[in-house]
Amino acid sequence: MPALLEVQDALRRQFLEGENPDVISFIEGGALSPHARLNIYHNTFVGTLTTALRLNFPAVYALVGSGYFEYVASAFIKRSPPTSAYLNDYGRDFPAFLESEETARGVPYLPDMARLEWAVSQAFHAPDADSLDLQRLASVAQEDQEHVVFALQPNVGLVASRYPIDVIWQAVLAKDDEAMAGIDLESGGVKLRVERRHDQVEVTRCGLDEWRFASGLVGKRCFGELASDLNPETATALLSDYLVRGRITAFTLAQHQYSERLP
Amino acid sequence: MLGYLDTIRRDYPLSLHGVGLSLGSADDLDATHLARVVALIKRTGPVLVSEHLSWSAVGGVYLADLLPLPLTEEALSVICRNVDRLQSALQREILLENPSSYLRYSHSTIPEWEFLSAVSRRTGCGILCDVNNIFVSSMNHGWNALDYLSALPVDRVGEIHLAGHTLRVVDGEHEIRIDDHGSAVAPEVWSLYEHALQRFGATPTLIEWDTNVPALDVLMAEAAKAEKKLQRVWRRAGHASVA
Repeated sequence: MPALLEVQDALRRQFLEGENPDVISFIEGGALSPHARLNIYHNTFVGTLTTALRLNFPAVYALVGSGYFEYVASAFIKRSPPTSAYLNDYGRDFPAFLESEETARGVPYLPDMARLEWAVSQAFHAPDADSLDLQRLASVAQEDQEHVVFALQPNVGLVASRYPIDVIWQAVLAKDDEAMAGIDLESGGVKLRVERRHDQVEVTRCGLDEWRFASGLVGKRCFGELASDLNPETATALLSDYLVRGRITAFTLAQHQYSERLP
Repeated sequence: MLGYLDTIRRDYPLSLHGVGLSLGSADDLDATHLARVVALIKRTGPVLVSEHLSWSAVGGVYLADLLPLPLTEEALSVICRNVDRLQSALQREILLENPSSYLRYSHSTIPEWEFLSAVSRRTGCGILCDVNNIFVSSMNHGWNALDYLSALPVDRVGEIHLAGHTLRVVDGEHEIRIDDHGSAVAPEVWSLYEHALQRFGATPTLIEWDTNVPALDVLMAEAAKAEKKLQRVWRRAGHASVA
């Protein structure tokens, strides 16, 4: 009698690697063959995960159509099946997969569109985190202020592309063919802040200063580094704006690491 | 996003129904997912919490379906271990739902109704009796659905599910019923539901219709049909009406 783990692992291989004689031998046939019975479960496996990807990447789905999406989703599922039942978090590697997929090259901005949609999905599903209590910041000694590392809200993300993906995204989701037809792919790249506010996700173009500032926060760079990269006035103004808008949740002091990186 | 659930919770009792804990996995439960479920249940304080007699994960891969277990002593020990762990993390009893199934393992040794009753007896969990699943599995495997109902312990059934299913023909001649939650409850399932109510008494009932979702009035009419049958059983038991 096969052990439970042996049976379960055989089914996993059947789903991900194709026909597996081991698992066929574990299953009663009858009027329907074991293969046909397993197919019912396999179809649900692929169908459920394709739906999860479609929900996380609706504009990618709309751009390529259901036939191609099902093809590419099926290939992705085989290569990168989910590791958790939390399917809102399924598809992190889908943009990179699209980038490597020969057949997707016809839509050059597709991987970046997927990156934008992943950031939108992550922002939408991010846990609610309290904004930083400014009283705590006031307690930081003057000499420590340049060593402060701020944490960005989990519902804020950044995406850059050499294509105007924000405009394409809006036109695709609005099914606005006229707007789509008017988009010039060579009109220049975009740097985007993706943020959930009041249960809605907003996608906003950033200026270069904000992009460098926010990227620095994501990279856990301390405020002193941000101030020397931009300039102290700009960094302070951006920090004030981020604090007021509740985009900062916490801070730590990184004196040692910062000192080591100083020229 | 959970704010919506908090708002609903203020006015209505909740029944939280899980599909992702994979209680039948030979591997340990996914600790991250378990923590997520525990946090949600602590936050929302549902009246009922349920999961499935099935498995979905192995070797760190989630297979996104409620897969059937071989019904063996080993699988019984495994699922009891996992139900114990879940109930201990939640500090409460759960209900375990019978699955619909399309295959059986040749090395199974325990009938499903005995297996489910044994999990309940060993772990103290209750049973979520999915009447549609009993019908679907009975038709697919040649069981007697009334025998299945009769074998479940009356005092352990805490919730009933009803749903629609599809009759599919495979290879041009073989019929199989698929539990797809995409249509009205079948007449045979309504009839089985009446048997279930006679046996278990007036029991909280949910109609699952989550694919091909119809207009709200169609769904409400389906719920009213169940409500009427519940009221009848409740009155017969000497009560004025279902609260």
